[in-house]
Amino acid sequence: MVFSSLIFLTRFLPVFFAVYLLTPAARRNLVLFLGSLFFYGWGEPVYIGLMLFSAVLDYGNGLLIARAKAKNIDRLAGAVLAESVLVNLSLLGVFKYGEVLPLPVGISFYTFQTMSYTIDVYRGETKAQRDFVAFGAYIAMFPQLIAGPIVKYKDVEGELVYRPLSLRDGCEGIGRFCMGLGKKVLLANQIGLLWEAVQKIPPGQMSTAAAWMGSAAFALQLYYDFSGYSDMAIGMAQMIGFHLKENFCYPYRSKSITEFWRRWHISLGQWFRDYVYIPLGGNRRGWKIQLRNILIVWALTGIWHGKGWNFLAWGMYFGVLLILEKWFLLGWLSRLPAVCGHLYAVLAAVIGMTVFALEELPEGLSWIGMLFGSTGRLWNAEALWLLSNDGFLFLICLVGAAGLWKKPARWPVLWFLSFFLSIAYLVDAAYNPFLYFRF
Amino acid sequence: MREHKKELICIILFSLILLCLSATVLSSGDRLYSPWEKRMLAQKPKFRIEDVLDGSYGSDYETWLTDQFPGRDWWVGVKTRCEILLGKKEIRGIYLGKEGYLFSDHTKTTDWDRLEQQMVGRYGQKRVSRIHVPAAGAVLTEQLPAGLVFSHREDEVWENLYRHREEYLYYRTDHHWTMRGAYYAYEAWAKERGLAPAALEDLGCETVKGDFLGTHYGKLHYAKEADTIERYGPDFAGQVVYDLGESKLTGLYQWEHLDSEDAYRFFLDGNHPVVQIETGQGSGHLVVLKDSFANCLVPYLTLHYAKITVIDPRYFRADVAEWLAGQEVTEVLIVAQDTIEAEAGY
Repeated sequence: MVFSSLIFLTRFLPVFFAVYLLTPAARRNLVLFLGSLFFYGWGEPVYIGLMLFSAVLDYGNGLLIARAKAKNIDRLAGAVLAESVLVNLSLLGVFKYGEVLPLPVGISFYTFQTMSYTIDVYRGETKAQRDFVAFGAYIAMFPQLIAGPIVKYKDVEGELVYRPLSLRDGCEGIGRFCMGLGKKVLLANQIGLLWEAVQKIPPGQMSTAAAWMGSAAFALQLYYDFSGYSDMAIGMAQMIGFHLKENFCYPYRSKSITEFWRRWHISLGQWFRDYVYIPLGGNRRGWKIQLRNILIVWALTGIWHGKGWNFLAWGMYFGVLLILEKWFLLGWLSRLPAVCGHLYAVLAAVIGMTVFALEELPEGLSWIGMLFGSTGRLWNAEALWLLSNDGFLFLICLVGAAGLWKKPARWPVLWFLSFFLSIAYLVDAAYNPFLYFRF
Repeated sequence: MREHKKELICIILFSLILLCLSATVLSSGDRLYSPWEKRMLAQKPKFRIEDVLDGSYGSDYETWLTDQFPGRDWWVGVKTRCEILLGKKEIRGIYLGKEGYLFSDHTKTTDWDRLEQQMVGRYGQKRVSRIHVPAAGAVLTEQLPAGLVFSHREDEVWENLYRHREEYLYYRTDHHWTMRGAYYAYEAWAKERGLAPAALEDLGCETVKGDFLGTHYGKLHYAKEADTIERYGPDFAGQVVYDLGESKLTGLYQWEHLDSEDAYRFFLDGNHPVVQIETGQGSGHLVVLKDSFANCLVPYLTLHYAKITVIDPRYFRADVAEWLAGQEVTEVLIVAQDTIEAEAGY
């Protein structure tokens, strides 16, 4: 089930909240756990088994590691941790990178969550969870199950046990959810149509302007899609009493790629920092090791997004930019006016997103060629037509992504408008006129 | 409690909206057929364990829910208006032109060229003719949205329509031409064939529907103004047989459709595989191979031929040439929309 569907909005959401609110606080984890399993299993019930397997395994692993550490058998604790990480990575490897089975939704997110748990228990940064239902509720928590944010166990440990409901959280959560839904349905999906339209332009009609419009449209689509989903997740979690960390913070406002990655998919960046980069030595063991560590982290970040070579190239692209920035670019940029930094960061990000969008690497490279004038045509009627059609939507997306007008996000009128229009767009998406009489 | 008043109102309002939406979905009865979309709607799936396990129950349930969502036509209209506010000029393949005109591409409905060659091979070049129906956008160039053009075929039919482009030749809310538009095509064709076309003034005109909303409206649920359906009336006292007598319909016009969502079916009852007309005037047997554009053109043809057989090859199950083999055929006319897609340009 996805959030931006009528079945979620008019069936799952009302029923879940009604049951959740009517259940005494002590039993709410159970409601959350079972509700999440139902949510997860709706499309593909077989994968409930996979989710339960993950939950049971790491629940056991956590307890085992804690027990071993309590008895000072560090080697056993280490072995169990290694087994936990290995099993999780294997699951990810088989389902995500193997060709055989359809991808279970959200597996990239929940395997990373369970790993954060066992690693933190091993490091002594958190206690093992004895209550299986609470642990299950953490792993399967439906608001963030499908598209993150990646919630670290230690961040919600307290709220898994005690999370009072408050009017304030409820109201703010509703606002976040409605605006997130609007970001996904009204902005991401719609600006995505511009990207599709640009891709359909025949080669002879392509122009530099159209190529940039397409790339920018995709960069905006990805941002609104992903951050909209995160907003919905954070909003729904807040409605039921969880306070998750922000996952996006206006990335396209950045003045460098270093800053961009502190603002884009924050929970993933932090995960790799805490569980890969720092354990490998981070920046404390000389520049050679640091260089290696950066490249490893960005290769992994790339592969995490998918099995295509373009994802690896995409990760490495950002890795190399980050190294250049650490080396000299940031110094240079700091001496130039801020606008140069903004321009550089946005252009570098948009080009990066183009690599992300086009799964075939040669296709991506030829598209980048078009961005730099390989079509020999700056603009034409085709580009103008697209601009006249989508210009205003484009502008709205830009203003929103740049964070130039943040106030409306706090107006309840706009929340309800966003929700109302989202329903209209979702109904429309399923409206399917058939011009000729039924055959 | 007082300082949380705003929050409380907000939560109650949201809960009510969710509740109302969910409840209306539950309470509305299932519709079988959507007249605007011209398709059957999904029905509630039966609960079976094996369907649940392989996930098909889930997806069927979702299709059912979205298909039966209450007031979906209204919601589509809301979305269209929102898009118009955003300055969109193309929505769901419909181009929003000036003066309330809605345009669309003409797609290829069947292989008319092959059919024409087949007929020429059998009856000879001289006895086969063709009317390429231009897309509305190729004629009403002044009403097109800025930045869009339709290419067109430089033939007599197009020229005659273009000459009269100030008149009411195409519906604003439907992809078809009006009976007046069909007249100018008939006029140009008749002259080319050496026939004397009836004068438009002599035919008499009657408005049969003043609030027609057509297929373009059906896609958007938006129209600046409704259309009128006008019937030009050549005298006709002949007999019409639909589908070789399988259908009980008679006459060139079917008045009952004027009050339905598919009012263009007024002409020849929409698309039938075969319609046979004995006109009681003129001479010869004309075979018309056509799509829906011909439905309002055929009445003009009754002035010239004693017998007209109208075949829609898209619905005709048998091979057209073989079926005609046993009959005496004087002439063959092919009437179909010309494949034209809008392009960006000025």
